[in-house]
Amino acid sequence: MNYLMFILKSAAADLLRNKLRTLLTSLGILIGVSSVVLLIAFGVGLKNFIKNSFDSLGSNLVFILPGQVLSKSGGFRGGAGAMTTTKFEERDVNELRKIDEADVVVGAFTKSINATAGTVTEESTLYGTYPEYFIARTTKAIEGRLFDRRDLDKRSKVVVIGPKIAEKLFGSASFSIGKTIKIDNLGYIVIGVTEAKGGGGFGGPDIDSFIYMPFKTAFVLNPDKKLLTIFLKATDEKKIPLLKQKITQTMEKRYAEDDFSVVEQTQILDTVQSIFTMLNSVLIAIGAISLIVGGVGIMNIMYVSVTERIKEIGVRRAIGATKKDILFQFLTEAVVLSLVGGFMGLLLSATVVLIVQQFFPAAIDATSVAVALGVSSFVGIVFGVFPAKKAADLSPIDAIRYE
Amino acid sequence: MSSMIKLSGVWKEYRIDNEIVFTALKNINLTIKNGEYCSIIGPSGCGKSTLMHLIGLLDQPSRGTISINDRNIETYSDSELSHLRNEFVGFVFQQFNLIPKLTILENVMLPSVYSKKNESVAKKKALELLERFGIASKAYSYPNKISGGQQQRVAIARALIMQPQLILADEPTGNLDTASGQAILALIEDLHKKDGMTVVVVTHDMNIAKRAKRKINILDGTII
Repeated sequence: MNYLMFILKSAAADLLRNKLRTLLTSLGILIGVSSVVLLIAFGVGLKNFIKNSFDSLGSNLVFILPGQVLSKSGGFRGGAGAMTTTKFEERDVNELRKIDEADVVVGAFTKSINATAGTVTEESTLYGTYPEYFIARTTKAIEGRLFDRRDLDKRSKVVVIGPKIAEKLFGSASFSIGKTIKIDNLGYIVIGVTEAKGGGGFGGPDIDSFIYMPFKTAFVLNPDKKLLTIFLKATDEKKIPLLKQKITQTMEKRYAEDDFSVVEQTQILDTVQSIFTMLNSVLIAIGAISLIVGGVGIMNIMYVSVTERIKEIGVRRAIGATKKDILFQFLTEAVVLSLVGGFMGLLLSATVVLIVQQFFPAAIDATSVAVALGVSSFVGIVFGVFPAKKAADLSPIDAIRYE
Repeated sequence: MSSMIKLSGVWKEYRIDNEIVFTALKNINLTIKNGEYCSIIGPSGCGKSTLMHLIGLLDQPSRGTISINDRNIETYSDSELSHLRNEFVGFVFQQFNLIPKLTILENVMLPSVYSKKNESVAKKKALELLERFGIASKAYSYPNKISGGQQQRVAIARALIMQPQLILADEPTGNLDTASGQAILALIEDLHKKDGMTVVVVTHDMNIAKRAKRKINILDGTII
């Protein structure tokens, strides 16, 4: 029998002989591993979800936002620097359109509103914008049509709404077309429903509940005719740095440096993701505490096992086992015990993720599997080494005499 | 015959806080030669088991030296002593001391696992030994499924797997009925007669001790 196989078989036989004890000891590791794996799975799912949401909003986008919203290091900036009363104007958009690297330039005015259809009233975000907005953000209509230049110029009392608000107000997207929505007691005809973009979770904007209105139509809700955001779509991803530079030069002609921010979509994505990664790491660290508890359980049971098998250790030493052989044997048993918990934890997590996936984009990836098995092996080694050392350090004569 | 084991001025003392509280062996001078069949006899507590443990390299003397094949083992490390036990000595215990979770075959092969010997060679040798002792049919059974006499045969097979120079049997019939005990003694004697092995049997039973060619009497830690 191969030495390693023999040690593994011995470990498995010993653990199988005490099935209930093995199961109960592994429970600690099971709970620890499943908490860590599930938190990673939720973290991965969340990251993918945010990325997909951002991707669906269009690519190569650069935003101009009022105030300094991002710090130099890239994180969201709070405090006075982020607060501003700056608003942009149409002539800024016209100036920015002169930049060669900008394919599309479009401004938007946003406002929180209550939209009413019949007896139903829902909170929403109004987007007073231009038809080019839909090009910049690759937004299509699933029902009806999007508003165009003519609607803008004629100040048509029309709106395009997101699929979620359509369902809330009218029951479905197809029923919404031609119906009237009242905003501040003024009626607007729904001419189109946009495709679903996702989002709206975790405190982010619920894009599918937005109401889009031609910018000029929205003057009634935006009397000073100002813009809160300007979107620019770069002609090429590689030209984004140059575009940002030219935007800054253009904007600095009219605004102070701190009055506006030029932000890439990926910058926002990175910042949002780094916040979630940090939050997730903290949660994983908390989950890891239960692994320590599980490890202490393993250590405890391994000490019991060593005490129960002192005579056996003596016999093994008498027939030629070295200290190293005994150490390796008990360490292997601790690792196998821990891995049993790790595997069970992984199975439990996979089951939970399969169920949760119907409501939340959780995902178990290779990292989660590696973490589960790596961490449980590590716990087995760390918490198994002391009992194993105790076994190895037993004097052969004391061990064989033990009754 | 050349000397296989030589104990010179060996003392075994037990101390608490550096103070000797019990002396188990006093100035033992003993030589066991290659191919000898000896018995160590004495009443309970006389020190015969302590002597066996020293000869079997399980323990170290407090004073004096032990030489194996003219090599003083005083400076041997724990690992070197383990290897020597593995290759030089075959133990047969009163309580058989088989590992319950291993099969009969695995129990016999166990010393060869620690010496990292070729698996198939060791397995062939183990099966031959089980065949020789009439328990080959039980090779894949577990120790709790066979009788005491059969368990002691397994223990003897385990003691022989590494082809040691010395068989050390500590009260080998102590846990057996008379018939099984006689059969085991006959088997041990065969190892001496047919295989020419050096055999040391530790016993308190004069009838067993008398069967050996040389009797070593111990009383109160001294050879008399």
